[in-house]
Amino acid sequence: MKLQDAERAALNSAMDRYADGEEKAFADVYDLLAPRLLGYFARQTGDDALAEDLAQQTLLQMHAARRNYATGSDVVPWAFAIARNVVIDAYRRTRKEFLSRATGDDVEAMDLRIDRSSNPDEVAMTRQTIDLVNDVLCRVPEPLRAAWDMVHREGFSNAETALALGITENAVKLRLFHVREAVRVAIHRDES
Amino acid sequence: MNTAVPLRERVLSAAAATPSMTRRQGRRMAVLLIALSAAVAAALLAVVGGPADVGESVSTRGPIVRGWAIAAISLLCLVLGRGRSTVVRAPQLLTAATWASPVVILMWTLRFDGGGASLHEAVKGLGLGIAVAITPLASFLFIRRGAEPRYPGALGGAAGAMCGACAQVIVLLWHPFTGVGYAAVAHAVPLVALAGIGRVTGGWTLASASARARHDDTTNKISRNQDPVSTWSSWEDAES
Repeated sequence: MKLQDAERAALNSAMDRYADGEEKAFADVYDLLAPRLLGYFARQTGDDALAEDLAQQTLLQMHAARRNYATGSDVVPWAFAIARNVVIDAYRRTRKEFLSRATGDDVEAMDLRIDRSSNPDEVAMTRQTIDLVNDVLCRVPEPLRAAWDMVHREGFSNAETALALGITENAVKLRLFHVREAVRVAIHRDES
Repeated sequence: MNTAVPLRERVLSAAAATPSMTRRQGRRMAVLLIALSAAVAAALLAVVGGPADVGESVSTRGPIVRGWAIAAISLLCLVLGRGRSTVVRAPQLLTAATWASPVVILMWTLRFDGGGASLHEAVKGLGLGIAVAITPLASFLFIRRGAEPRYPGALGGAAGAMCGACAQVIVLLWHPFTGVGYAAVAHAVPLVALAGIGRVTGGWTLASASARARHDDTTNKISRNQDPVSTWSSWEDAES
């Protein structure tokens, strides 16, 4: 779920007002940010109930740290930097293996890309490729998957991803390259 | 988890029930803490006897203190300023500034000919530098507590070194000796010590959620439960 420019500006403005003490603005921050956070956590954990808990934690940490929100700064990379720590923290607490998974939204999106008039073999092959890609994404190390998810699933630019993950843009490109290579190798193996 | 109450309601009511400082209140608190730090620094300088008139060091006091004050404030703004971003500057910059500051102050003081002093005086200078820097460092950690999602340890270390650098203005005002041994013990060592203190305490107090979790190997364990596909085996090396 990508945030449009207008929504992003509205989110930044709402957070700005909230940081200045306008308590009602937090509802706007919630409405604009929570769906994205829920999608992110659902993909990261594969557990909708846990995703809700983690989204709540993230939003409350933003609430607690609002005094440090810089005027005019972009909320989304900051929120996702917190969100990523929340996932890692949840992992440490539960010692549970979180596997990235496709959410209902993703499956629906993939379905839309398959031409309904295609022959059943093509549809089956496309689905097999999608499963293969998802399988690879489950197996790559978390830092690589985080970069991939932010760029390809959350719609972040490389610069925003770099900001959220605290790495350089070149490092983001490198991580994306390695995931693409992993997918390419997996597809090649599957074909052979 | 209470699934009976919708998430939106839960989040908004939890936020309402736990008041947090607004930006204006945060700024007011920061100004108060800066004033407190300045008062503590002045008091400590008075306790150690104020600016001492000792031999040839007196003539170097003006230029050495003025120059270092400008350098320390510039470093402080460069490292701890965030501009229009809520997250801190690149960790490489923070780390470089942290470890460069003791070297810079050493090079700066050695440019002057203020004479040397005994080890006892140098240790007193070390103690004074750390004592003066503790209040601003604690203030910074308090103001920014729980707000750094990416590199709390690096930010804490940089904050420690920068507070130490500012505290050195007081130490130089007290005794502007410039002998190598004195400068190393009284000026450079406190910055290293404060960077270490800041790194450890910052890692705990500045972290939002468990940003500190990122410093263990947890991230690499997540989902690495199957055979590696091989192509990413060297990505960490390549990134570094």
